[in-house]
Amino acid sequence: MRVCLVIEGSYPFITGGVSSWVHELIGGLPEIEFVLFTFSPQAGQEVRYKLPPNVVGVTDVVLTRSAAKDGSRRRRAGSKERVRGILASHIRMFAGNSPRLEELIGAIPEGTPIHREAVLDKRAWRFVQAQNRGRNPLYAYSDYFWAWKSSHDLIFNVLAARAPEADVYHSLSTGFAGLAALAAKLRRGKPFLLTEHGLYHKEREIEIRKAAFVRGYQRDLWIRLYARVARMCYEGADLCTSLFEENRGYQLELGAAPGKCVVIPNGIDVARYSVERVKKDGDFHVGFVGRIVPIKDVKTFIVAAKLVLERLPNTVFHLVGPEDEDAPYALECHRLAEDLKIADRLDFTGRANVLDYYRFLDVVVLTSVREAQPLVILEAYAAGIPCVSTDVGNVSELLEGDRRFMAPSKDSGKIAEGIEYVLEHPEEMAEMARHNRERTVATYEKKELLARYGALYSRFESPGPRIGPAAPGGGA
Amino acid sequence: MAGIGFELRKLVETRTLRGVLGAAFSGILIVAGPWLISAASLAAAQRLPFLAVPGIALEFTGAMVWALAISICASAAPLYIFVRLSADLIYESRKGEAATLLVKYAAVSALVSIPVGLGLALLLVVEPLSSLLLVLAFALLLAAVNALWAAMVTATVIHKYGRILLAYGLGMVLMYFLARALGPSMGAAGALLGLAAGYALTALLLILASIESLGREPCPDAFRRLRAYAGRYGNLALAGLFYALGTWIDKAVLATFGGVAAPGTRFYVNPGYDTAFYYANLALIPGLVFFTIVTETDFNLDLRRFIGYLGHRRQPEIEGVKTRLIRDSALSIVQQSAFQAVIALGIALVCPLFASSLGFPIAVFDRLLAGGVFQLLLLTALNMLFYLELYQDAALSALTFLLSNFLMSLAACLWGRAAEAQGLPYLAACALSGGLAVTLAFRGLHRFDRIVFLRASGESFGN
Repeated sequence: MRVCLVIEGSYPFITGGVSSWVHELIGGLPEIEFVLFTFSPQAGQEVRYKLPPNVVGVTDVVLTRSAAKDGSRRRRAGSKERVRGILASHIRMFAGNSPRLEELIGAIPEGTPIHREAVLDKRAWRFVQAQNRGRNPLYAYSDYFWAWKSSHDLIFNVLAARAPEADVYHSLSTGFAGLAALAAKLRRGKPFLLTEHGLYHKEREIEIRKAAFVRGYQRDLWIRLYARVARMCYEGADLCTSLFEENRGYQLELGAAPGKCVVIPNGIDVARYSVERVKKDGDFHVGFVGRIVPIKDVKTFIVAAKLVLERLPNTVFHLVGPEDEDAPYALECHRLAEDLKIADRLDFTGRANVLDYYRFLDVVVLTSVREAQPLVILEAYAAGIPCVSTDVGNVSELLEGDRRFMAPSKDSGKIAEGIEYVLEHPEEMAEMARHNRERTVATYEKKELLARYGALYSRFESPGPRIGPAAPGGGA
Repeated sequence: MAGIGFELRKLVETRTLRGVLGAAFSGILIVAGPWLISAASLAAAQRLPFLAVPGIALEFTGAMVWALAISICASAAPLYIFVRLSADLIYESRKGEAATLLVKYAAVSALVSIPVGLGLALLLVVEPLSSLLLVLAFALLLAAVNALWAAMVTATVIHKYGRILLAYGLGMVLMYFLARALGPSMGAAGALLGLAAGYALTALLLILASIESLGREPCPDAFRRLRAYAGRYGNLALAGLFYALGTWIDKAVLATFGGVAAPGTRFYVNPGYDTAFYYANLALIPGLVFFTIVTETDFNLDLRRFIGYLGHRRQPEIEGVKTRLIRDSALSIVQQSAFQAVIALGIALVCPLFASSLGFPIAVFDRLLAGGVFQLLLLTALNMLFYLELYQDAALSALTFLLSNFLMSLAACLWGRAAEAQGLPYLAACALSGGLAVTLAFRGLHRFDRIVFLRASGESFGN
């Protein structure tokens, strides 16, 4: 059996939670062949993982690739029909109806970039102008045009990409990866499995609203586009899995059929993280495990460290994770530590074996502004370490809603209080660590996760009733 | 030449008789000054006693016409690429580099022309042993003319018309006196050497004037850049080549089938038709002045406004400017064509009065005058296509001009109707290709907003 994992902006080029999950999934199902169908912002990215032997192929598509380099200069046969089909779908969408996916995706055959046709075709051009008149009448036409062009170029690149042959297309998000998997399903007649860790369209919306350079109509267009693509993916997927119930609710809200949505929580290799704990010198050791990137809000962690050190000067803070993904941000973090005069108490380890740190850390802290179901908390639990975290994603469920250890986003004061509470209540923490470990073994064991995905793949492979948009149903 | 048009327009807008006449006179000097001075000098040279001998006169005329025709056709493609690169350098305020590029290009094209010219002359001069001097003179003339084209084009941007006219004047004076000095002993070869020296001096003076005006800065990799431009703007080069061939092909076909050549040479010419064509071309001067002052300048202004609106204005405003651009361009072309048609008609009505002294059939001349109206249309539309950078369409129009002129001329000759058909292939080819070029230019204008956005997306279109 061959599974095509459709991934945008993570494995195997970027390390992190989703990438680790994918790596573990592939490694844990050696009897299944995997092909990776990845979408990247740029070409030639370094592969950050040693690919397991059952990865039999990697097809990387550069999202921003100019179609001019793909030989799209010449108008191809069927151009008029393609444009007509695409316009018909758009008209349906703008009228508030769901597009006919077969019609829309079928209008753009694999390997046929239509960037050029979309601008040069008279009807397409008039359609864009008509939309501009209706939606953006007060501002410069070029603003509308570039918003439309940049967003649709990405979609055209995705839909023109040739998907590897596989028995199942398993996308790790909605967005462009989901759209590619949906296209592959419709073109190949193979099932489409959608797994979401976070909620891609919500994450993009937050980014767009925060980005200063995306304004006015452009902002609205991008947000609507991501929501529309997410809806198409939910409606078109044969099965949607999410990590926790709250996210499943969002999937249902955006059009996924209840019978097609299941929760499969994250899982870790509990035995691997069950390290023998040691007490390292007389200091109190606080750990941050993750990439040094803005989404992890490392600066809040550093400010919290400052607050803790004012009361508990014998504390050491270890930041265990690579700094090369966003080097300018990492540099800012170092400077902040220097400005706060706590650099000597902060240990930026860079890329390191987390097990070496789980042996002696007294508390693991997570300050992310966005997470789904963070593996680092599960790893810490397996290692018997209490956690303090911002209240994002599924953290509340993992921390059983205990407000003593949760803080709103960016609240370094509350994070510091949580750390101090752990330090000041060692007996309670020991008891809590045992409890959390038991919960992890019972609910978040990797073997269980692998078994469920293995079963899902087998089910899709079996020659039973075809799962498709016309015949929904068939949950896990 | 839109920059020149702006200056002449200022004169016209004074709304005084002096201003209008000044603009018209300056326009004639700019678009046809070199042409008129050369013609006058040649006419003067041809009255030299030694050129009155029929054989020598035919040898001189044949070699000169062939040298000019070969030069125009052979240098057209590289010259258009050179012009494009020069224009880009000047637009980017790298004028000193443009001057250096001119020096390098003129030097290399002249140097390359000498062996090429020698080779061609050895083919065209049947008795080389007795005419080695003629062969050498032909090659030197080719080299001088090739250098002159590049110098002329660059000189149009320096806006020092007095200097330019002086360069032509001095060159032609040298040509006359050298021809007079060498002619009696060397015959046609002497006259050709005089012509070559005159052109060479003109080219040199124009290059010096350009360097003085533009400055001089290093232009590294000049020929690598020209090669890169040739790859990028291949259709521009083809448009130049096809147009140049198209203007000569009917003359070449008619001369090959029914022309005469001086003994011992293959410089076939068709004196009656060639002279008629030459005079008919002079009739284009008023239309060219109109084009420079009105049509091209208006188009340039409207196009710049339209492109500016595309980046910053609302859609209704863009559409308004686009409509105006199309309407005004059409109006200018109609006015220009009507103006040229009236000029042609006036000349056609006056010509019969001098029929006995013209030396060519009036009917042929009328056809060529009518053809000139359409050739001006073709030139105008090609110019618009160049502004829009729709070089593919320009090449297609020029190819239509070349092929239709060639095939119809050939057909007339093969059917033994060459004499009766003189001028008709040219008229039909100009009308056909002019109509096509105008159609393509306006199609380009109608969708130019789309094309601009497409190009801004990094895609090429129509280059």
